[in-house]
Amino acid sequence: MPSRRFANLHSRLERNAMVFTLAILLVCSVGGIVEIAPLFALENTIEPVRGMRPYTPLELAGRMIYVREGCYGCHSQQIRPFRDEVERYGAYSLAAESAYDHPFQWGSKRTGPDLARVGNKYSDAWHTQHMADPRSVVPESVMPPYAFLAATALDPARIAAHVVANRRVGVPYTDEMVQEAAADMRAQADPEADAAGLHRRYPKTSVRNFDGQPELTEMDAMVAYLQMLGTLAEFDWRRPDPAMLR
Amino acid sequence: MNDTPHAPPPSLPPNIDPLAPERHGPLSFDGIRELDTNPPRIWTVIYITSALAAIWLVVAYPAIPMLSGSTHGVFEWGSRASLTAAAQKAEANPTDIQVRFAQASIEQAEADPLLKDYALAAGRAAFGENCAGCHGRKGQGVVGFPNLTDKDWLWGGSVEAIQHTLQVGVRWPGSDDARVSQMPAFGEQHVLERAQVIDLVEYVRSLSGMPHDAAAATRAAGTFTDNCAACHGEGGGGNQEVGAPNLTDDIWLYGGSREAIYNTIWHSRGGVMPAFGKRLSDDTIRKLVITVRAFGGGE
Repeated sequence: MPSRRFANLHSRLERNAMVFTLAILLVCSVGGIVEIAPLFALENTIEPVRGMRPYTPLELAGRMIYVREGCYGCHSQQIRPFRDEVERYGAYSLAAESAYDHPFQWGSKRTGPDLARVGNKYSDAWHTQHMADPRSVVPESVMPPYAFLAATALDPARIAAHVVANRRVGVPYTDEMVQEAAADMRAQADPEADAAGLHRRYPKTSVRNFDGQPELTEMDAMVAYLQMLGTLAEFDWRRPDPAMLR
Repeated sequence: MNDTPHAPPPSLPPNIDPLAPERHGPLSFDGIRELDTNPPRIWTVIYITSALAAIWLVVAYPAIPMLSGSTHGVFEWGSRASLTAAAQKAEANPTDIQVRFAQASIEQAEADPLLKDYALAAGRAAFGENCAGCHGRKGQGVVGFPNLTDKDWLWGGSVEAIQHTLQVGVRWPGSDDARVSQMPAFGEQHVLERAQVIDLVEYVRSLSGMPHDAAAATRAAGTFTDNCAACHGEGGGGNQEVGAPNLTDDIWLYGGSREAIYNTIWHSRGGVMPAFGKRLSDDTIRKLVITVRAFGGGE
């Protein structure tokens, strides 16, 4: 009887501490290998897609505010490859789109909508007003107000250090990007500034006064970040490159 | 010891479990016996079946992570590929009503009750996702974001005008052919003196018959003609070619109070609407046009 033989095998194992320890280690290591080994080949999981670039300093600052305020608690940034999701939010998210995210903002908890492709969906004025008082534009919203962002100055002095920190964990910022970080940060929120260098270093960058105030505030950074979300990768999910479907 | 429930009947030796007599249980230790009863057979069957199912899943579907991607499985299944296939199949086999809607003009679709119902059902969902954030769930708008239920249109409320606005956006930096116009910031840019602006506010209020200082309004008539009439019209009736609002009605996008009008003239205004031409399909935009017109404000 197989069940009896199995039971006897188990009872023999149970009575031999060394063998049983080895068996436990063997079983646990399967879980470890399955989870850890692929991390050494993480690059292979990132699709080749045109258009991706590191965050501009202003976007990076906005991203840090996003993480600081815990926006991920209610908003995911991960559109899954299901028809209902792509019909609502747009193309599904690619691994390449969060390759420069430390930490990534994936998730499945959506008290608010997914934000992976919120960029270019609303006007800057809407974002500014919605952030200051969400219910003034969306009466049924349960989002807390973040009016203080528009009143909190953004200090460009520290951004270079954050760019360096991101470079240390693998984001391909160049020396020039680090050097110009503070200037690029000011330039992106100032339509009058000379943004030629910014555009060369970071293609497809929007230069605007995002919050409509003359000062550089955290609201500028936040809106700049939200307005670029999901706008970089160039691919058509309806007719994807075969490399995208591995 | 004899009244212990698991005490073996005298017919069995003490090291045999009465519930699984075929197995040799452990000997008693200090008078304590550990029984080793087999679980019910059904558990064993479920356990082995689950293990076999797991092996089948590993063989059939992408499962084992390798150094370059994972195993593909015999079905070569992928969530993205299956989504692509489903979307392409839906595109290749449109339903009758989809075909009829695609062939009809917006006016024809509005006239056909079935097509209109279809367009409204789909349009309401698209409106809720893409438009309601600014214009409100029922198109009622909010200060700074136009009401779509009234007959006052900045850029035109005809089928073509609404469709074009949806496609190219208004003052939208991401669209080359967006509808663009820019009211000067008359105060900020030192075109007008503060006193002139204050008088102009009274003149603008007089256009729609609101309470105003008649003397100040009279003083500002020339200022209006010189600075405002080019876009807003001599009588203040507005011009949809340049998105200049009608100043003679009681609809105020940014408020009709003295303070609000003063701020508008001093700093200027200019709402921004994203272009949806690249974001939504042509048919979705046509459905949105019908939805917006059904709010009651279409021209």
